[in-house]
Order: sequence, then C-alpha cells, then structure tokens
Amino acid sequence: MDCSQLSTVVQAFVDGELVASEAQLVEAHAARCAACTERISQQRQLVTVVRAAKGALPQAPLALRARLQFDLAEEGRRSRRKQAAVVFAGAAAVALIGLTGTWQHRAAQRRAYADDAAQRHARQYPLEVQPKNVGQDFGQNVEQLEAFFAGKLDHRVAVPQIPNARAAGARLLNVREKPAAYIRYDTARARQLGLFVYGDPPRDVAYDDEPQVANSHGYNVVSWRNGDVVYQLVSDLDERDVLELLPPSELPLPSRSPQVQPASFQR
Amino acid sequence: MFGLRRHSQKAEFEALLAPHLDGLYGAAVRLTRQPTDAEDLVQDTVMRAFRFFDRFQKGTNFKAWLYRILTNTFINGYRRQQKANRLGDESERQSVEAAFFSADATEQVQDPESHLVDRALSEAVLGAIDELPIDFRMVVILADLQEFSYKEAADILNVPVGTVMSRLFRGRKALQRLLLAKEGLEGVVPNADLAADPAAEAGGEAPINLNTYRQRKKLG
Repeated sequence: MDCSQLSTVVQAFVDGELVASEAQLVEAHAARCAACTERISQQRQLVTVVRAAKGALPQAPLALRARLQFDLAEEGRRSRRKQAAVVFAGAAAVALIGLTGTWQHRAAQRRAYADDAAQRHARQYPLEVQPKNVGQDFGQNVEQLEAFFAGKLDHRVAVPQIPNARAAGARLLNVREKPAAYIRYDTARARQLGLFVYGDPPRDVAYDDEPQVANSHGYNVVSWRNGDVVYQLVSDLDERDVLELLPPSELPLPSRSPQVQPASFQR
Repeated sequence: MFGLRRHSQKAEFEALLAPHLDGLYGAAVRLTRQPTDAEDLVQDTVMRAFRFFDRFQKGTNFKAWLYRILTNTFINGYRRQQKANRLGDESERQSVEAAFFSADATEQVQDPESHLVDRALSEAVLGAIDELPIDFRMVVILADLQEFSYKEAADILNVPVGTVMSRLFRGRKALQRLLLAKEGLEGVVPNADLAADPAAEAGGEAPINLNTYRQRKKLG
C-alpha cells in the first residue's frame, strides 16, 4: 500500500469499517510513514470531536414522552374498539351482555384511577417545579405552577387555592398511562395533599361533577369534574376534613352540596 | 378478552422503543432544527412505527428500522415545510455561538485535559452540523451521532454504501472548515487536510468507495 492508496481508505480505517487484512495493510504502511501516521491521527481527532457531540444532544422532553404514552394507549384502545364492534355486530344478545359489562367495566376503571393516584401520591415522586429556597412555598403565586404546565398537557391546568394548605411544587405524572398534572400541597399539620388534574373528555376518571370519595391505600381520594377536566385530591385526612378542604366554589370546583357522602355510604 | 394480543404487542413495542427515544429526539432536533417540529416528527415517527409494527421482522435491527421511518417521515413531510421556516435559523445559530464564546467556555476549551468532553465544543459541533446541507447532515447524524455503520446508514437512506462514504467524508470536511472558522478551537479541531480528495483520486466523478479500492489493489 502506498500513501495515495492509504488516503482513499483512511476514513474507513478510522471508522472501523475495513476488514482485518485491509486494516493490517494500513497499519503496516503507517508504521513506516510519518505523513500517513499524522494523516490518520488528524482524521481520528476530527471524528472524535464530532462523535463527542452526541453527548450534548438534548433528551426527549417529558411532555413528549407523556404525549407518546397517551397516543399509544389511545391507538390500542381504538383498535380494540374496532375489533369489539365487529364481534358485537354479529350477535345482539351478546351486545346486551357486553354493554352491561362495559358499565361495570367503567366503574372498575374509575376505581383503578383512584387506586393508582393514591399509590403515586404515596410514592412521593420528585417534583419538577419547586420554590427557589427550601422551606418556602408558592403561596398565592400559583401562576408559576400553571406556567410550568402550559403546553405540556392537552388541557389547561388551573391550580386551585386550598384553604390551610400551600402549594409546595408540581410535576407531570401519568396515572394508568393518562398524563396528569400533579400538584403537592403542604398543610399546617405537616400533612401532604396531592392534587391530580386530568384532561378527561371520555369520562374515564370521573363521571360526575359532584365530588365522589373513595378510599385506597389508606388515603381518601376525592374526584370531581369540571367540564372536560377532572380533579382528584389525595390525602390522608379523614373524609369530613377532606371535604372541608375543597376549594371555594368560584374555583374550578362545583359548589359543594350537602348530599356529598363518602362512596362507602352510597351503596 | 379482545385485543389482548394487541396489548402485549404494545408492551413489546414500548420496551423496544424506550432505549431509542432520546436518540430519536436528538436526531429529530438536528434534522428539523426546531424543537417543536422535532417533537412532532418523533411523534409521527413513533405512531407510524407502531401502526406498522406487525411488519417489523422480529430479531432484525429495530433501531435501524426506526431511523428509516424517521428519515422517510422527515423527507416526505417536513422538508418542504422547513424551507419556509429558514428565517428562524439565524438567531438560533447566534445563540449557539454566543454560548460558545462566553468567557468560561473559552477557558475550558483551552484546557487540553477536558477538551474532548467539553460541552461548549460539542454545542459548536452541533451548530455546525445544523449548517450542513441536508444530504450530508443526515449521514453525519446517522454515522457519527447515532453510530450506525456505513451499511446500516446506506439501508436507512436507501442509497449505495459508496454514497454514504462520500457524503460522510464531505460532511466531516465541511464541519472541519466550519469549526476552524470559529475562534478558540485551534489545536482542538485538526487543521490539516484529512486526505486527498477521494473524488479526485477516483477520477473526479466516483465517490470514495471500498470496492474501487479493492479492485485497484487486485489490479495493481
């Protein structure tokens, strides 16, 4: 191999694309040719610099991940519905049983959302937005939290003020693969509340505007709906205290009614 | 009951996808040069891949399959639209340069110990990649940022291996020129000619090509 032959394969050599016998020819020539050794080293230096830039590539944003997870779940549901529709079209009797089943299934599904929300609250995932100084909270400045969610979810997130509780931080969190805003509040008695805010037009998480209470994993989970948005408050306070905590009616919560009862009393 | 198969397929797809999501997004940002376009591009790519997942042959190269969908989606849907958005590029580039020229960044570059992992240098490289013509940019993204082999990159782009080699050579050469034009990179980016121009070597027309070399070696 001579210098001009080497120059045509120096790139493939540095990229590790030559077969062993070819690489040996390059090495043998370079061992007795300072100019080609230098040429190889320059090529290697440039490739190293370019490849190192891989480390500065941005990571996929959390909002994109949430979007993908949601869309993949939707896509799965759509194709399941399609399959189900074909089967039900064949037999009306089966369809009737199917519908009853669907209703029970929906109730179980809402229950599963409450369970998962309680569990996620309990796990105390790290918050993505927090006050600048330890021990501070957002007080009345919940706009900062709302600004954090802007553009990350398909619904607007209004952060309610909760009496005797202060917003301590927030993050995105998926509950059963549904992306939600999660806001953590601290209360005076050092207890933590977690509020999940979902965009839920299909009424997967909650059906009613009236608050519904469920118990799960030692927490009370209160869910209520305001238009297409569902709020779900998780706390370890007892049921009466939780309902006391619900924000006043002008905030994104329907007026409280005396009919509200814990889910356990409603059956 | 229904869709169980579909459900396990979704889990399988997500498991295969997870390790590549950051890479896909990083490549998409370099292709589109716009973070919001990049998110849309990744979303289109992933949903397309999921819909055609039953056509993916198990055990073959999933990463290459994904990037093939990514580049096709980009070429078909984003490239035309991108041309209308050229105006935004200049300010973006300036901000990269501003970051690069800040005092502490320059100091780090001059420290020979840390230059290879230097963040500002890498930002400058990414900025230079963004300036490459799209054909060269795609090959550099695949071969250098995603570390695909020549053969894989050729399959992804549906071009001959020789074309990949030639575009990679010219793309890197253009990067070298762009980086050398920036201050503070002396001694970090090599300044010599990398090699004799392979196009000229091969008679002016043909790109650098392993087969050409191999044939010549047999003849000579």
